[in-house]
Amino acid sequence: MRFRTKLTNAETFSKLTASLSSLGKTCWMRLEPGNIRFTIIPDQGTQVWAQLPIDAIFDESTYVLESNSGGIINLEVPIGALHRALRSAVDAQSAQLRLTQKGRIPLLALTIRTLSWAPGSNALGITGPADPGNTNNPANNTNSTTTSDRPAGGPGPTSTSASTTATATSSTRPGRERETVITQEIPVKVFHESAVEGLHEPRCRDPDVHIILPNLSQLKAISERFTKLAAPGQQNGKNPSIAANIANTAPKLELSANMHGSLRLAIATDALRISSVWTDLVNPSLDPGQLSQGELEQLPSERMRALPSDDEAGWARVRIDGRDWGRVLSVGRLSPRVVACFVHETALILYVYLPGTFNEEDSCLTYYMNSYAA
Amino acid sequence: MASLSFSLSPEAIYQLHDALMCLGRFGDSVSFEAQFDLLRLSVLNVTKTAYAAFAFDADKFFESYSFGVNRNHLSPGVETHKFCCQILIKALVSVFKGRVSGRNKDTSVERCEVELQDDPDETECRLIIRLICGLGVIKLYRLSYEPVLVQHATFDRSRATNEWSIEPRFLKEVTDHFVPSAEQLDIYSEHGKTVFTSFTTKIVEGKEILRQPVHTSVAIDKRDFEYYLAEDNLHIAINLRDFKAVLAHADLVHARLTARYTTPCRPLQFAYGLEGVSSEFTVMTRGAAVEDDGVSSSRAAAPQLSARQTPAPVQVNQQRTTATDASRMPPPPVRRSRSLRPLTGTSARASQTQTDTESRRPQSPAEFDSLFVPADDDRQWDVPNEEEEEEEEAQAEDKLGWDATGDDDTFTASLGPRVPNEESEAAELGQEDETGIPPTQPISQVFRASFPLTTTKGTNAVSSMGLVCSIEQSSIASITPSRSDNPACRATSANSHDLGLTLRQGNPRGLVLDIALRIGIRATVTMLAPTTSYHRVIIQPSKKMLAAHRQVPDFTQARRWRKLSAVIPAPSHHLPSIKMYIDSMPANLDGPIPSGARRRPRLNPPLIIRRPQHDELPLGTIPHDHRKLPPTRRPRRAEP
Repeated sequence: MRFRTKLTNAETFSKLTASLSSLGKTCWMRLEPGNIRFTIIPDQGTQVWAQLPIDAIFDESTYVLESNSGGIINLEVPIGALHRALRSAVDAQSAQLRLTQKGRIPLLALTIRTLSWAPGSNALGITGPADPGNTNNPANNTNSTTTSDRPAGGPGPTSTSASTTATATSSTRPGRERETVITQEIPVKVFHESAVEGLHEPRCRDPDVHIILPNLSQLKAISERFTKLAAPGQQNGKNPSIAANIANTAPKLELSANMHGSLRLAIATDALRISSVWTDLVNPSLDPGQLSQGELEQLPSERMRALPSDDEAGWARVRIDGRDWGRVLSVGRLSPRVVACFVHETALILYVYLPGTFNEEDSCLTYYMNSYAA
Repeated sequence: MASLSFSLSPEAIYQLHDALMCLGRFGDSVSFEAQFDLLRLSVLNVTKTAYAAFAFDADKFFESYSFGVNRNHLSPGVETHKFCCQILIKALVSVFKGRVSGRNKDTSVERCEVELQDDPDETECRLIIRLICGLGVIKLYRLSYEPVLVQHATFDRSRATNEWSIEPRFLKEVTDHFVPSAEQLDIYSEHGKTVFTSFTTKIVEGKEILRQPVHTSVAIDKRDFEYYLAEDNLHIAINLRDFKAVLAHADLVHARLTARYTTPCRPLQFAYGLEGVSSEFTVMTRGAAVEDDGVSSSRAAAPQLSARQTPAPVQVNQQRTTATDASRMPPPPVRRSRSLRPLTGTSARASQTQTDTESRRPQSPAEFDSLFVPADDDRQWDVPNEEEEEEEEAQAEDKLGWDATGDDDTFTASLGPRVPNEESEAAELGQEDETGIPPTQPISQVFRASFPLTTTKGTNAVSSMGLVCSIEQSSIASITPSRSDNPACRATSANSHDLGLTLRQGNPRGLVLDIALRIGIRATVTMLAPTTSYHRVIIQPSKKMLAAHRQVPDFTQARRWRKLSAVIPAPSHHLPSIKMYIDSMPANLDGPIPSGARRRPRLNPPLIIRRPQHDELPLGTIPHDHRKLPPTRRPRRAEP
């Protein structure tokens, strides 16, 4: 079993793990020859099934994946720790991820190499000759590749001045490039293929309404504001058992949309009822290539589309937990395009397409949220 | 009666505030030590593994500084050159907090005057801080302080073999990569790189792989250091929180940080200096203990740690009872403190007597976990008729461990050869022997005196009574202390004797004996090698031995030897023989000694030696003649 790759897009990877880590502690990471899948199935709350092409975050040319079970490795990863480790890699020059083992504990070892500029004590910032002790540095072979893009930060030294003051380097400390190698070792669990055979994506009936969500940061801010307004008063918060009880029965965000580009976010308590409505959103059409014309017309969304926009029956509605919704919306940091599929009173499914990937359709995070009963 | 007053400029207030914030990360209360030429603020953390000190120069840091001692009111024995007290850091920080921001220009602080009231005429134990602000606003704070005897971590810079210096921001970049839950930091260098690795010693259940902490190692170039003069591949581990606290302050004041250390399990000191302020942080390190090379007496890591700690409880007790008589030490430590603390600073004399013991320092177990005796192994030593009250203690004592790093020589050297007047002690011991000591020993609390006896008479008498294991130099390896006629001297108790002996008998075969000690739970008697001189182990009953008037111990049924965990002095009327008190181990490593042992009334409070916590710092009060920075440099070593 072997897995080794270079990270090409540590920032995306880091953001992805950050938004995933808000939903659960551990993540099932499935490494396939062409794709990586991240799945979080918490005991309660939203499930997320994500699939990314290799080149979205990894360097395809250095991607090595070998295993006995058809070139697929299933790992259980502490997603928070992975995210914490990846944060070190965001500004790095290079980062390599590999599966290794220390003792009997399998590890995801993330080796990060960063370069930064260290200003010296001499004002000119002149580099001295390379440290002779550094030549037997095992990292030197990679060093040569990284030093080519030397002017990464700070005032680039000129070669002429370097020769003139080379003798002075012993007494004064020249400004120079600092290389830092960071190794993060994240303990993981390796699953056998049989252990994950029974895991399937949830299935539900065809959605009644599908709509592209507005800007997630806006949506998140308003959602959180609503949740806070409807939250039980602080006088109840003193008793934790009561508070926990209330949290379970707390008013749910009511999210509804129709096939005429409208999305409504509402919350209702005994004391208040507030709602926000977005209009002129896009209801994407389904890919006609996948469905025949007859099937397309049979779809519930097409029936909803046929209803007039002012008809309340044209709205599909779900009730979701505000905090859970907030966690889901944390994926907004990736600034994705999100299609929400409403199954009336049943479920809300979000298809989150990452931007800027080579093939947008391939990199998709799917969130499955159950609707609470009224 | 001391008088102390000083005033601070606004900049100095900021610096003081920063220092207090830093000290606050080590402990709750800060110790003030006022001397004629400096004011030192220090904190020793609860576990005694870290010590932080800021020394403010009287001339440079303060606008004005005056410290005086009224000698007329001095009771004899009180140190005249300094005054020590302790104040809660929170209280101090809140005084200076907000002053730092200086948002309101009109009423910002212009000067700060601090005055100490130690006069019987005034309200006692008050520190008065007067903040003189703009527009005539004066803010007055009265804080209570507690007179204490300040303890100091000792660190001998001249003996530090490894040293490096670096800009703290580089190290801050390093620590930024660590996960917040990381607890420890390992530092070593190889191939021109210095590697910082964070790790956690928390034991994680085998199944919970995913809960295992992330190990982060950051390698930086040695050239990032101002200079790096440390051994390659020498792993040294320190507490990460302490390290971060040091870094945060050093980075704040843009001071270059210097670290000095020798080997793992020996203290490491971070130091940096500013204008008028010198900062020192001494932290205990862990790691694979290096075999002592016998070159320096300061290498005796664990004994210092264990023994150095000895006076602490005594001092505290003294302070509580006789608050004003701060520096009067209980009688025993006067001699004993020297003998028990062969420290960097005070070891000039000790090293002479220790030279023969240095070379055979036993190999130290590397893992600090090996401190603890596994509970299972203890079973075989259990004695059936154990009293119920012992059972409670037994739980705590399952964690008992003698000898973390195996440096028993402190005891050995200090107790063995250095005791004067052997004849009289022998006589005394002989006398005790004749008083009909019951044949068995309560092991829960043991009194032992191991003096080289000059008369075989005493030895024979004692050994025949089962009180003393006398091991003759000429005896063969399968030494069985003469206990054949003593029903109580079963293997268990005999073992415990021998084990006790090994602890303090300094002889060339101490290594062998110490090994027996460490595996003593399993070892049989015959494993013990003969020692070179006579030893006596006198066991006293647990509850009664603390009474000062008791000269003659009586012994009851032997119990489990593993109840031994500390030693107190035994009473004697002839001369102050070395007395040791065996205290039961607290279950909590950092917890206090069981109160029962401490609270017993006793005219002459015993030294209480706690289990050698080898990751503690060597501690001591500051020597009288110590005035200069740095605080831990000890000129006293040169004294005879």
